[in-house]
Amino acid sequence: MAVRVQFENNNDIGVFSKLTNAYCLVAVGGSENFYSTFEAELADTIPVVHASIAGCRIIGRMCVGNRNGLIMPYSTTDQELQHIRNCLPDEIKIQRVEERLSALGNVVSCNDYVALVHPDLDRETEEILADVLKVEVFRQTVTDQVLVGSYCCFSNQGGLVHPKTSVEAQDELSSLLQVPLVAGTVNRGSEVIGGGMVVNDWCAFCGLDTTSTELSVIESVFKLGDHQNQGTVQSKIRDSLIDSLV
Amino acid sequence: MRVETCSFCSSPVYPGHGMNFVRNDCKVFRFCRGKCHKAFKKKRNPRKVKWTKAYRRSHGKELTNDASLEFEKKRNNPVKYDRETWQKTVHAIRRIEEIKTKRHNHFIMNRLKVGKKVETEADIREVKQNINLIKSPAAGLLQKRQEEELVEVLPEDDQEMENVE
Amino acid sequence: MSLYNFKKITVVPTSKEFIDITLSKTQRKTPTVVHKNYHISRIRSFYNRKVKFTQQNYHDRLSTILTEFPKLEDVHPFYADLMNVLYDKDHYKLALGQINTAKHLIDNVGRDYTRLMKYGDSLYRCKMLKRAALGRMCTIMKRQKQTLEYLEEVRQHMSRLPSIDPNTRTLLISGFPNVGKSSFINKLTRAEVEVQPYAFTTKSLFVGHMDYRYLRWQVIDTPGILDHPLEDRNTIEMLSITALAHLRAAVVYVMDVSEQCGESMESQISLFNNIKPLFLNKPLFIMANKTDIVSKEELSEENRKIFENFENEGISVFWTSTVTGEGIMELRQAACDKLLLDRVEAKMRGKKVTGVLNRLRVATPIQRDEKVRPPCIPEAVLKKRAAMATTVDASLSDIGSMTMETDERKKTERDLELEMDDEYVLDLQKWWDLKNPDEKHDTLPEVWEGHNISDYIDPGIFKRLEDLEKEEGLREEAGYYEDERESDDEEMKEIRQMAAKIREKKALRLQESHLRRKVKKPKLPGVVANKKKTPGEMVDKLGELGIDLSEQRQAHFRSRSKTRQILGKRKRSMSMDVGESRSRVRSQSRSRNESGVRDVAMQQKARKLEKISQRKMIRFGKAGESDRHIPTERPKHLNTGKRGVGKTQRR
Repeated sequence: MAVRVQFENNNDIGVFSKLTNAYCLVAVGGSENFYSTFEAELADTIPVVHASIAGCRIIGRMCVGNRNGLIMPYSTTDQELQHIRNCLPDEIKIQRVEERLSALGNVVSCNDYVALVHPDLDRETEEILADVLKVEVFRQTVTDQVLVGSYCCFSNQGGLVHPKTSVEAQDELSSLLQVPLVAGTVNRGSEVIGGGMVVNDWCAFCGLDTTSTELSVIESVFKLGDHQNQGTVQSKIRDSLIDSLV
Repeated sequence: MRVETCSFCSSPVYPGHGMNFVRNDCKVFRFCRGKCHKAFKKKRNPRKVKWTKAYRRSHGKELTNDASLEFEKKRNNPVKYDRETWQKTVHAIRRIEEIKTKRHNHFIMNRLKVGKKVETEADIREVKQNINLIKSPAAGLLQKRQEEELVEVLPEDDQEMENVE
Repeated sequence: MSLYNFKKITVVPTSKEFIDITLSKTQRKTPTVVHKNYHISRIRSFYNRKVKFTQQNYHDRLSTILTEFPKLEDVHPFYADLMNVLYDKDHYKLALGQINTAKHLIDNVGRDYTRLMKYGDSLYRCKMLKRAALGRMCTIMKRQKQTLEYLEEVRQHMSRLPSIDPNTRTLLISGFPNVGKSSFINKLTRAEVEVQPYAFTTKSLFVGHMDYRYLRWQVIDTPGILDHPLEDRNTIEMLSITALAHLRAAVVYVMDVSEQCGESMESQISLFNNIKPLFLNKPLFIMANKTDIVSKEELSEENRKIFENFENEGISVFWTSTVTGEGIMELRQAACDKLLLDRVEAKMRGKKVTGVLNRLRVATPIQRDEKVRPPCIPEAVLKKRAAMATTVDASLSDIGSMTMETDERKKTERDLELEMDDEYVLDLQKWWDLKNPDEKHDTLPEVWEGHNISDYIDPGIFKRLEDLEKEEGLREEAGYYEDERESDDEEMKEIRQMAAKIREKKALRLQESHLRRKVKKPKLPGVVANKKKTPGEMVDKLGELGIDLSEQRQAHFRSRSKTRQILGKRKRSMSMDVGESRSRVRSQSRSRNESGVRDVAMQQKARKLEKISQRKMIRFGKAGESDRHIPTERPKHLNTGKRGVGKTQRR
């Protein structure tokens, strides 16, 4: 179920929220519209939590997590850490790491099994990631883009990478991550996928600017829609894609 | 809100005080006041500046390896709130502080004992060398001579007495 | 710029307005004051400036008009043709040409008069030249009155043209008047085109948009076309013909099977055949409309045969009714699919696809190890999905149009916020998931006595505290904290006292020597210095050091040792008689302080004066009265600088 939403007139959902299979973090906005969109969709199944990191609202890009844990940068204050710990169930391990590349959301992209990491990340942080999130960590770029967290976004069922990824790189990444991958855009041609949308295994949220074509691609690659006709959907999308792109 | 420690002198920086400096390699330095900030800018090594805690600890003037000091450190895994735990922790903090100060005082006392010894030795030396400033060697000389004379006289008398007898 | 949005053209003013605006602008924006007695070059430049300004203004405005109005050669041929039909290409071009000429003429006038201004030798002459220049320019503009009015009309009409993108996916609906084209577009899109029983209700092109297969489609409704040759067609019909001719779209030819429009099937067929050349290369569909009145089965034989012919030729026929809605969706689906297919094929043949190929394929992973990585979808979600799958109609393939209708809509935070309006406060702690829910709204302490509580919170803290206490207990028992300070015995105490005294003595000596050294007095000769030391002092000092000298026995002290007698010449005294009394060699001398001084008071005064006169010498350390050396003749600190207040006439 892909939903279009905006945060204070801004289409970059991946910046202001973090969505995993076990919880969802949402930035504190002026009004509760943004939060309520997530709440309406998710509140029955997983906790949806207001959060801030170091007083900032760009939480989606600062922290990284999956259903096993959550990793925060060193600048998170004790009170914020405590608040998140209080809201999330005990199974989810929360850890604060000291790391030079403190925008962890831009630097690490992960699902419940595999994580893709900036090549310059510290060794200790990599170990902590493997330990807290229980993932295999790979140091890899996405076709010359070192900020893997910003330029690709994947869940357990599929992944979206930025449109300039070559076919070979796509294949390589796909076998590394063990999920099907598509190169596409979000929010009307924005290449920054990770910042533009959030996704988990059953729903996705993207900006209001996302065109129907993009939305259809997202729904098909992350397997969010009805499961019946995946194949036909793909071919339909293909034609629409060609028509709109060329 | 958090009470930080100064990166130069390790004193507590309360909210609303001091200055923070973020370097290009993303390290944050907090200073409690302009004195520390300026010293830092002058590239002074706090381990060599006498009044900082870093110096005192590295030169053994303060308690370093002690169990009571391991309680307070910045922790990265939060624990869920539980009123009881928090209350007990606050009491625990008080108790830990007591123990810490006691041990610290003891440590200082031990350190000062050495000085006591040195002091006594210095006093003794001083007295040996410079006693002449308060008491001349000729003091009591007159009395002594007198006594000696008396003593001389007396045995003579005795001898005479003996001779007589 | 002029692609398909003509709404941004600036208003074309009437000629009168044009002139007024420009002239008033000249008046406001150029300097207004000039006098006879200025230098002639200044006067000339003043008037020149006005002329040039006016010329520039006219030039600019006319240029904007020329650039903003679309050139018929530059726009898409569809729009070129459309504008030709509506506004007459020749007239349009002519109007723009005239504006262009006017612009050139004004430029010429400006240039000429600027040159002539050189020969103006008085204020009056220059003024008249300027007047003439401006007058001529304005006359030129006055002549453009008709042109400007025409252009304004064109602009107004153009801005109301429907914004049709000739390059995107389009469905064109054509047919006889009153067959049901506008009802069809109303059904497909959200456009609300007027539907009336009389013919030619639709008098211009209308655009509607619809979504299908994640793409946006234009549906264009045309006015009805009648069956007569091209030359006889009126403007309105020409609109449809233009659309048909230039837009690469799927064409839906609507036919009225019930013949309610007033035309028989044959005439409709003949019209179809007439405009068939326009349908070349376009996907074509026949829509047999109004089947609610006359259904397919009720049709006559010939008519049915006609439709069979169509089928045989390969043109699909759809039986629809815009009133009941049957057949419309199928038609739409078929038309859109076919058009999309055509477009895609055309694009694939082109070269641009290669750049986009990477976005078109899905990279599937190759298994690299045995580990299974299933998605983690919670139970509740799966249940919800299953529930939805059963209720949702399978035909709904557009995900975009699916609406969720749950009976109970949960109250969201937003609803709460709206309800409470001003009183709403975001209480973050209400979402805390604690062991004990009553503790949710506790305020957590952060700092206590300079310590951060969060630094101490640790699951193992109590155990460690216990260990610490135990250790502490052990230490206390072992006597670790007992004060081992040995108190000094008597001897030590005495030694300490004496050491203290020694140190004190030393310090005093040091101080005295410092004082002595510091004072820069001339040193007094040794005799006088020793005079100060009295035997009494010595006795005291030695007494301090422990030597008792109070008994007189050992005292040989005198203030002054005996002075030797002044012995006269020995020989003489020896040879002379012993009995001779000694005569006085010298008369008794009196000290100088006492000679000539009357009494003690005077003596004291004299002494005082003596001392005063010596003060300067002593202080400056001078050798004597004759020592008059000046180290610096004109010291800077006395001879420089300003006075704070007062004059510096003397220093």
